[in-house]
Amino acid sequence: MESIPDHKLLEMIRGNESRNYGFNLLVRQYQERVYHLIRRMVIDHNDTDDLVQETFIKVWQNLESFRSDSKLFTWIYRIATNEALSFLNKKKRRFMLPLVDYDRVLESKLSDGHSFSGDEIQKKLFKALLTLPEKQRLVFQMKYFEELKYDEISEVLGTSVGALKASYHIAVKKIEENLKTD
Amino acid sequence: MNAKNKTYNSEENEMEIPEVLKNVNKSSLFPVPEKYFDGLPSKIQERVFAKDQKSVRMRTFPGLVQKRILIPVVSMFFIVALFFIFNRDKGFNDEYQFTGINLEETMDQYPEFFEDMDEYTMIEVLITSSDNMDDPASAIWSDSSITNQEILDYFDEENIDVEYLYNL
Repeated sequence: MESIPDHKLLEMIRGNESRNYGFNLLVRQYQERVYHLIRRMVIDHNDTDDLVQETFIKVWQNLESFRSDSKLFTWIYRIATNEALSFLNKKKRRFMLPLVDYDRVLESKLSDGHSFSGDEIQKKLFKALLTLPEKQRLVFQMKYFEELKYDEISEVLGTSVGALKASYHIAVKKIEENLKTD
Repeated sequence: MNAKNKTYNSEENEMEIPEVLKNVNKSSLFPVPEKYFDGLPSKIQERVFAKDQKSVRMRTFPGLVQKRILIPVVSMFFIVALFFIFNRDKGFNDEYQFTGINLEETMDQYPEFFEDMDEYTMIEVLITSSDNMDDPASAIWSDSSITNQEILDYFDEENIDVEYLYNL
C-alpha cells in the first residue's frame, strides 16, 4: 500500500464525510508496525490482537487532541507502548500470588510452536530479551528491529536521547553476554 | 571528550550492531493468521462505531436512567416501601403498649374520680409509667418520693376508697 502523508490522513479524518474512510486508511497504514511492536512485547497473537484494537480505538478517541508538532506514528507508538506495558504490568501483578513468573510464561510461549516461528538463534535472542527490564526491551526493539532514530524513540518513550543511548548500549551488552553463555 | 562519551555520542555507534546479532534474521519471527491485516481495520471500526453509539446513548439518557444506577435506586425504593408497610401496624401496637392505660377512657368511665382533683394527674403518670400494668396501683406505692402514709392520708382527706384504685 502506498504511504499517505500524515497531514492528508488527518485532513480526511477531520472532514465530516471522509472521517471513517480516513481512519480506515490510517489503520491500514500503521497496523502492521503497531502489531509487530506489541507482538514482540507480549508474544501471544490473541493478546496482541486485543492490544492493537485498543490502541487504535484510543487513537480514534484522542485524535482531536493530537497536535501536529509530533509525528503521527510516534504518537501512535506511544499509545501502543503504554498499552503493552500496562498489559504486562497487569499480568505480572496477577501472577504474583501463585508465584508464577510471567516472563517464564512468555518464554514458554516462545517454545510452544504457535506463537513463535523463528529459528534457534532468534529464539535465543528473544529469550535473552525477556531477561531485560521492559523499558530497556522496548528501547532495544525500537532501535534494533524498527531501526528508529534515538530522537524518534525519545518522542515515543519521553526519555532523553542520552538516556536512550545508554539504555541501548547496556541492553546490547546484556544480550551479547546472554547469547555467549548459552 | 573521554572514551565513554565518544561511544555514546558518535553517530556510527548509534547503529552499532554486535557481531552475534548480525546473523539474526529480523523478519517473520511471529506467525500471523492469514489475511489478519485485511480484516483488522473493519474489526476496529466496528468497535469504534459500537463505542461511539454507546457514548451517544450515555449522553442521551442522563445518569439516573443508566441501568447501573436505576436498578439500585428502584430496589432501594421497594425496600423502604416494604419497611413502612410491614412496620405500620407494629407501630400502632407499640404505641398502645407504651401508653398502657388510656387516660380518656378512664376519665369517661370514672368521672367522679377525676373531678376537681389535679393530683390524679400525678397518679395517672405513675400508673402509666409502671412496668407492671396488671397492678397499676403498685406503681404508686413503689414511687420513692411519696410515702405510703402520705398517700393514705391524702386518700382519707379526699374520701377516696383505696380499694377503688385496685379496681382500675
